[in-house]
Amino acid sequence: MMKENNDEKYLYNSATLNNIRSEYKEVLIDSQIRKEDFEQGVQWLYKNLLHRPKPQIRYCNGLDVDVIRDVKSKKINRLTVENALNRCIDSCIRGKNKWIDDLLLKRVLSEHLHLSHQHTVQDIINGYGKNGINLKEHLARIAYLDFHIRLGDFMALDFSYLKKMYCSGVYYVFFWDDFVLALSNPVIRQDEHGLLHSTVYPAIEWPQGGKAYYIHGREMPEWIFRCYGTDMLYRRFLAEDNEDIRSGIITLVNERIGDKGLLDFLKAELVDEKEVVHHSGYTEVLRLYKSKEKFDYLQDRKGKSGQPYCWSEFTCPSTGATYLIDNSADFKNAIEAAKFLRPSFVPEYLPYRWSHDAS
Amino acid sequence: MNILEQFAHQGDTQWFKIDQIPFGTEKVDKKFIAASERSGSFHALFGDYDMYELAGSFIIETKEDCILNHSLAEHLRDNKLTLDEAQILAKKDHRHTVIPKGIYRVGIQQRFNPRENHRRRITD
Repeated sequence: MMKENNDEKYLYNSATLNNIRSEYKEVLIDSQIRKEDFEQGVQWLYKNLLHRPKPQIRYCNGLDVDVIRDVKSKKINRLTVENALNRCIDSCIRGKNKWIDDLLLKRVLSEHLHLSHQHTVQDIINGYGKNGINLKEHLARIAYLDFHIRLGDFMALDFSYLKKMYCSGVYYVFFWDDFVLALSNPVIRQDEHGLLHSTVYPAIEWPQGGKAYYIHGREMPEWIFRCYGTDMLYRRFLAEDNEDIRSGIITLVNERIGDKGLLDFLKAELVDEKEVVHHSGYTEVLRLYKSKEKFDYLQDRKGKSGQPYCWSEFTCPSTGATYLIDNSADFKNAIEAAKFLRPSFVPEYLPYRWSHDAS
Repeated sequence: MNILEQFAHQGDTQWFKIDQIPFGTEKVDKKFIAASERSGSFHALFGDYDMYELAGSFIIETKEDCILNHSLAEHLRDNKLTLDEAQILAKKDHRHTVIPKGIYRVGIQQRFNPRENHRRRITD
């Protein structure tokens, strides 16, 4: 750890740090690509670090399967590129008389330049190819380097090329022996808690391909959006086994057309609701719904056919998500219905009340 | 074995306090109480406890305050944690629950299938 007598240099409200923070924050969110900078940086990378001739460069506003598949030359392993860049960055810090490892500054920059949902986006990208790196993921390291260079702590001759590449606005780069594909920022949509979320569009998408749907942080299949507004959504909701998807459909319908719309969608009527007071005053409203329509193929728990659909409604205390769980249509009382959905070893007489915790 | 109270739930895992370990239950190695392959998440208890299996449910005797976590498998791998240490992990959806010393029977909330007239465990 470097000892510095001049404390003013390392005050974290310094003009230099503030400039670095705002400059790199803008790079993080900027979706414009500065092609000239990127090309200079990539040319330097290929010539000086990867020891390959200058590649052809193509820019993409999405993950185009055809483009990626049509590249004939050999992929460069992601680790090869990362290791080469890491060695270059480390040499800037180590090759001097002083060893600088300011953990607090690193943490400050990492938090400020945090790339949201990068693992989820990476999962989408991995489905198209694994021969690439996320440039924006490493902005904090470049910012850290830049900060010390501006203070004159060391000089790095190639830093300008490194910075041009990382700060060009390109989000992700795929590498081949003689070809590079540069990808722009995805559009990311979130709810008020920062969870991936949209009930109208993909929560993550590029205009030219590559997308994923999420509702309050849970991935959803595309068909629930495609079928929205048609009878097919209701039919597929009834047939769906996965409770998270069913919950996602409910949220989608609820957010788009409200509570009344949701009941209409479900063609349901509220049969009963009861408030239960659990531990520490935590209260829960249990509801019981039934569809107006009856169906020959539906039975109640006693085996009697010709029943309506029946759901018990639970609200998750942790996520706020509403779950409609299929239940036997002979119930008329919301609490008795909820009891029935407890594990089968639980006797009916046991009161429905969480005595310790619910999450 | 008597069920004394409806104790706690974390997601669809439900805990019921019981008075004793039923005769004839089989002790097992500690394992996840529930797991989702699709999301990579799990519900698991961390700490000093014994675990038994009984007819599709678990009997758990906690010797100390244990932590019921809902987290991702990668957090276990990344931090090289085991189920023997009472630790709070980064949550996936549900916050952790403290399960105090005692004996519990643990099952999964059910869903009635009106097409087949039977209950089965919730899947996610």
